[in-house]
Amino acid sequence: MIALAAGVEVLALTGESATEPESVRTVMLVGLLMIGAWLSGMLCERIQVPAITGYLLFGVFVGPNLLNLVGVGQITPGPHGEDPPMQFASDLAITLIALTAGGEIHLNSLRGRLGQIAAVLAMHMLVLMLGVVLAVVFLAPYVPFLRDIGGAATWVVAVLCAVVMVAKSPAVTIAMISDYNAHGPLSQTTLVITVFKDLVLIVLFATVMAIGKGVLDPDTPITGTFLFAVAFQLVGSLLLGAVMGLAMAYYVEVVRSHLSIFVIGSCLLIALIGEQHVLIAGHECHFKPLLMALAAGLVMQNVWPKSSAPLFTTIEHTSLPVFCLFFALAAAKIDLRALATLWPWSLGLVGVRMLMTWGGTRLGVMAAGMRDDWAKLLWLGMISQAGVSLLLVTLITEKFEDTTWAEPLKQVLIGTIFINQIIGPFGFRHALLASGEGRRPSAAPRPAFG
Amino acid sequence: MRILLGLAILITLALAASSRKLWSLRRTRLGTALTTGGWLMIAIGMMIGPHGAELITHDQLEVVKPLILFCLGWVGLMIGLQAHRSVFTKLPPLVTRVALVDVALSVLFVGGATLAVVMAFDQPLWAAMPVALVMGVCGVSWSAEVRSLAKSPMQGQAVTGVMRGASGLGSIFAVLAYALLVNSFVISAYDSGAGGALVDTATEQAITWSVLRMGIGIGASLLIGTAMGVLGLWLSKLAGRGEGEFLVVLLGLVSFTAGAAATMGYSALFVSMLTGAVLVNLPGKALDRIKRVIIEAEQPLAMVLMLVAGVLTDPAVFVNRPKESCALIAAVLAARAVTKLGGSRWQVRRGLKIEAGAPTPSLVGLIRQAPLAIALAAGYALSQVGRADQSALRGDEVLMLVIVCGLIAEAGPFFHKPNSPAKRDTPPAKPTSTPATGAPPSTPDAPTEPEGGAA
Repeated sequence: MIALAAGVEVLALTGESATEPESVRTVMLVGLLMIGAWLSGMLCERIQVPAITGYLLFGVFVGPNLLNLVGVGQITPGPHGEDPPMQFASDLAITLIALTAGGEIHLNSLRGRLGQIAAVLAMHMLVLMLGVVLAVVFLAPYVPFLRDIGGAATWVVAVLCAVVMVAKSPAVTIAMISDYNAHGPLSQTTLVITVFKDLVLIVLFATVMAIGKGVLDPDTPITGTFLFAVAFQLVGSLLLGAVMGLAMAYYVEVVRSHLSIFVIGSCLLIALIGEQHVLIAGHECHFKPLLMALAAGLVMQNVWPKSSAPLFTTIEHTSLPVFCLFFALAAAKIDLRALATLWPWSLGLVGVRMLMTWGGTRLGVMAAGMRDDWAKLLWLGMISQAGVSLLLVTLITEKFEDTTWAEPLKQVLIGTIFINQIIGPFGFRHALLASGEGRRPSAAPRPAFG
Repeated sequence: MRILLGLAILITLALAASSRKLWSLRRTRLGTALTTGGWLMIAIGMMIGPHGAELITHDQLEVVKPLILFCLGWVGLMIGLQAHRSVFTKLPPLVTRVALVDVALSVLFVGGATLAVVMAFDQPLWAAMPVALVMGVCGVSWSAEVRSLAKSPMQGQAVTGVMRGASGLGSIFAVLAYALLVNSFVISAYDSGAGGALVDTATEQAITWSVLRMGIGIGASLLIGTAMGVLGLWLSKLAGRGEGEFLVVLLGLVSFTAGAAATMGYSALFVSMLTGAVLVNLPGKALDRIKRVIIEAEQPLAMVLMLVAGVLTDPAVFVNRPKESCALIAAVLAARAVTKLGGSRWQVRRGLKIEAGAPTPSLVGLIRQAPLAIALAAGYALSQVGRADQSALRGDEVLMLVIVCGLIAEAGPFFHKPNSPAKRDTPPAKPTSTPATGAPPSTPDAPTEPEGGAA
């Protein structure tokens, strides 16, 4: 396929006729990325490496750094700020991931365990965030792109880094539990914590982004009305998402046909609503697609579970092509040259994150009064990062694109996520096998995303 | 970004149109014709497009193009999947003959009539040729939807069987003819002020015929179509039972094939059709699954295609060139009447040995335009030759004319009063064709056999 695509490009360039617009090439590249990433994922799975690593490697391979089949024009905004042709993949992926995460929250099953989970979650997040913030602030004078940005910006960067480092991949967790056929309290607790962490994280992220922008942008100072506008954004997004969730469940109940297209249409609609600006107390606000989709998924799962079941099955099926495309594109955007110079910082961040995850989870397990042996294993399920983390990094870069630190920070964070993606599943596999809840997968083909 | 609003509307409307709740619309002859012909979707597309409410503006059309290309790829794959080798051996010779003669007559008469009209309005031959050829190709075949014609199902079975079979084959031939057309023209950019030298920034364009380009185009299309067909089968086997994996393969295959063809300036419909034809003629169990998914998604995707075609079309052609447009429509309809009601109708009656004077009301349906014509015209509107400034009519104008011709032709059977109208004595069958292809609902393993012993 790569050879075919290259041949097509050569023929198109040397042809006698006029050249085709970039949007036409996008169609071919979507096909190439989808199938190529999927095949690479399968190859990786054969050698016990998570499929997602394969998607990323393929993206790097065909991206501007190596083959340049997916050129810069396809993945970066145009000169007048136009969305790149491949932007729709990110829009779809954001809402699909959030819908899936919302659908994983079964409120009924949480009753009685909420206290324990809250304790672990709070300690884990608190220690991890504190550790990362301090590390970034302490090391900032030595980091080339953070050295001269000023105190306020350093703190904003530190908190943003901390939020991204808190993120954990629900998709990987679900896939691993399914792969290893794991049944038991440890795997279920890991899953519940992961999903709840996502919920808290998305709210936290939206808040930090809004306040961070307010701190750095003199046009949007932090005032009472500003905070009200931020709160309105968050609560409004959740409420709007809940309404959308009900509407989606109603559609499934009444129509129940062409669900794949309905899912894609709904995700695009959520992305569209996220782009609409509303003026609240003199501040320009817009609803958060991540929160809306999360709330929609949560409402569907917990209010209308029977009707929504086919929709979640469809989302699961539709997710794979979108994820293949999204992860490959995300990797294509990585600037390998920048990463080559910034990798020590990525590695350092991985180290801090692992240390803080271990410490925070251990403290949380003790505070919650859980079994002692879990203190050694639970943290191993908190390492892997994937879609949500990459999404957050993308959103940070978009929001702070006019700053000098956004682009190099993206490279460092993506490098960190890349490493965590590779080592994370190995850690969780060890935890599942050591606890006796999981079994080694059979030779049968396994799903990439649960 | 408003394009997202446009896309969301498009998809929602497509869903609404294809949902089961709205199937009741098809219980009437008019409803059947409107929904399966895609006319409602085209009308909605025009209403939300740049010439209507401007929910999708001219600037945003560029972003809609990938969606059209994808739909064309899907339609092409679906037509190709009908081209199992057994179709050509098991179908009665009458069906093949009717389809082949129809292609030749349509290109000749409809294309000739278009050429005459366009040149009568002072357009040079080379500027008129692509328009004439595309109108000729769009004139090929007829709607395979026979339900709205079925005044007497018992009487019309043999006739409608041949109509459906020939319509399906005609779709394949039409796509082939269309590929020859779009692959044959070279649009060169010239700077008129620099002695006609080729320059990067053009001030004038010239359309010329090139056998070399046609040869390279067909060769490259064959290469990509075949390679993707073989690759598609292997990938389908690799996908195993996973639904997500299968979706990756199918979406990726359609996107890559259609996109590769369009990137080179060739026909996405043709290359995808080749991929489908290769897929269907190779052994493998995965094929059944491909067919199932393709057919399941056919209706909504066809609706999306019709909607986007409505968005793409340019109704201003009737304001800018009123005389030319009306003359062209009249000429095309007249040529169509001669070709279908003269040539094809005569062939069917003779082939089925229908006595002189015996009524065959269903045959009036031959006048109706194949829904594939709109897909072909939409493809033409996206192609280099359709976008060329020097063309006698732009692609979006051609699309508008094809839509109007199709709409008028669709109305024909409703005004036709048979000599001895028979009452509908049995409930009609499920709609038998789809808007995009008009292909019969046959599977390659069980090719369409005209009902009532057409042979």
